[in-house]
Amino acid sequence: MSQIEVKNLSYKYGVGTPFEVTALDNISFSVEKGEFIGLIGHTGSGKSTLLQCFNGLLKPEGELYIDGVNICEKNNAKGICFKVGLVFQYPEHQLFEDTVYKDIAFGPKNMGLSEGEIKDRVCEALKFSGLSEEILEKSPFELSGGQKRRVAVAGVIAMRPEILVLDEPAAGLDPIGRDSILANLREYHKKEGKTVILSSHNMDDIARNCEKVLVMNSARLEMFETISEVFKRSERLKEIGLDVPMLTSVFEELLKEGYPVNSGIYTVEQAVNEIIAAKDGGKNA
Amino acid sequence: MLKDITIGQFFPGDSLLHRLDPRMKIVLTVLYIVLLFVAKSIVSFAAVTVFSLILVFLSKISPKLILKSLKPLLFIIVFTTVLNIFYVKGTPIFEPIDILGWQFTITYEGLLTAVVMVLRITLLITTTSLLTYTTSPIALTDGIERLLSPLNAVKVPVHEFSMMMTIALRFIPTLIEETEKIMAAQKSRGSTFSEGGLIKRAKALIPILVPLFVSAFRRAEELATAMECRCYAGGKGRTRLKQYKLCARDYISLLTVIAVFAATIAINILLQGIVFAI
Repeated sequence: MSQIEVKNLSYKYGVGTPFEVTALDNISFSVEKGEFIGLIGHTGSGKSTLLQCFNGLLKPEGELYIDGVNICEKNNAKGICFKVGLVFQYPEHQLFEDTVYKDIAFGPKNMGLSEGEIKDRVCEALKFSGLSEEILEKSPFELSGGQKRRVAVAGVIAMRPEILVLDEPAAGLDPIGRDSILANLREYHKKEGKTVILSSHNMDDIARNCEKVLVMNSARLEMFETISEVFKRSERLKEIGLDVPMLTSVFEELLKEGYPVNSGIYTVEQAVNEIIAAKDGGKNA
Repeated sequence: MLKDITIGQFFPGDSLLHRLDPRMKIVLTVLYIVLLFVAKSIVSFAAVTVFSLILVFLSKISPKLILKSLKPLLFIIVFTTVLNIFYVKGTPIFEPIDILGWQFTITYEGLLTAVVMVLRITLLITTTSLLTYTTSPIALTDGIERLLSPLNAVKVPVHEFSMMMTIALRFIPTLIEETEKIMAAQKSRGSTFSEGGLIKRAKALIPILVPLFVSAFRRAEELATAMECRCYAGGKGRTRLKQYKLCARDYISLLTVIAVFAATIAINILLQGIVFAI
């Protein structure tokens, strides 16, 4: 069985009031251990709702198996938040302790770990987030925006979740901050072999990091394919209010102009190869 | 959960009640509350009830929502009913019941008082929630500010108070949303809010309250800066975008309420000693 199995998952907000909205409509897919999955969709397409189902915060209808346990069933959701670490949008807004150390230790402490174990985990999470040990005794409120964000992410990583789920972790950060947070994620994924699910509005971030992409459109699952397959369908993506990475659109324009290149290009490497091939092809012709 | 709170909520619409001048609506609501306490006989209560039902109908707000606003008060309603039924002295309806040595008597007067009290509380909540259901918070505080403006003469900063009220009302839903978000985030880090004893539960609130306060202060600062950037400097010399003017429907509603008021007093006097409640 796959690590995550989603079967006919549905969720509605405000049931029984005039404001009832369907946020998830009969969604099914599965994720293998160690995959890096992207999640894209227009604002209000149900991304955040789906992410909150993974760690049992919301109780949807249908089935959601994490390692073979259906967490939609009663009493099965307990402790699932330690297995599936969820980083919310703007996670720095949840910091509350008087020192960075205590804040990162909040999750492990709730798991009931020993002091020594907690200390190890805090240091490890700190390293993953690219922070130095000097800030451990500082108050989280005197850090910069980017540092706060990293501390918050470290607070989730310190629980050593098998599956790490992030809701737009790079939103509102400067380019250096965004690149370094995503680089840390890539490393976490590579080194530990953990599953990562990343939601983002930035197609370039998705293209650079993920292997497969979930595309949500008005509460439904529109596509679930590898990156190049998804970005080949740029027409449809634009129809549902999304975009393709910058490189992909450049190559689409080149194709339209009549150059012999492929569509579905999304990394610089691919682009270089494609241009060299096109140039050679042009010479031969 | 927190989202279920309907008291103070505004439902946009275009009914007669929505279009009434907010100042008139506030005055009429106050009149109506007085009326509820003036009414003494069963007949006048029936009249007032019918009047309130007409108001609900006119507001085009679903009766379900109105019943929902009564839900938090269910306990008080039941409590007063029980108290009144058993404690008001008078002519007993049937023989005293003996339960574990306690004498329970239900009197005619007790039953009547209970019915009247329930009606009074229910109607009070229903109509006052109609005021907030049909008036946007901004119109409401605007109306209050205008009504209190004579106090400016004695140097009460009416505008500042009403601005504070507007801002407070405006931020209730925002803060509720924020609380839910923070709670979800802390739950994801394994904190529990519904387990353990009183002290443990109180301690579990710290991870919610600290971020909530921080964000409230941050919002307040941002708002203050934004207001200053738009040259806000208090109420002095400030003109209004929306000028309220009383029109025919406002006067007609005023006359109607006065008529109902007069009728209630008349019933009280005419039926004195025949059918009385209190």
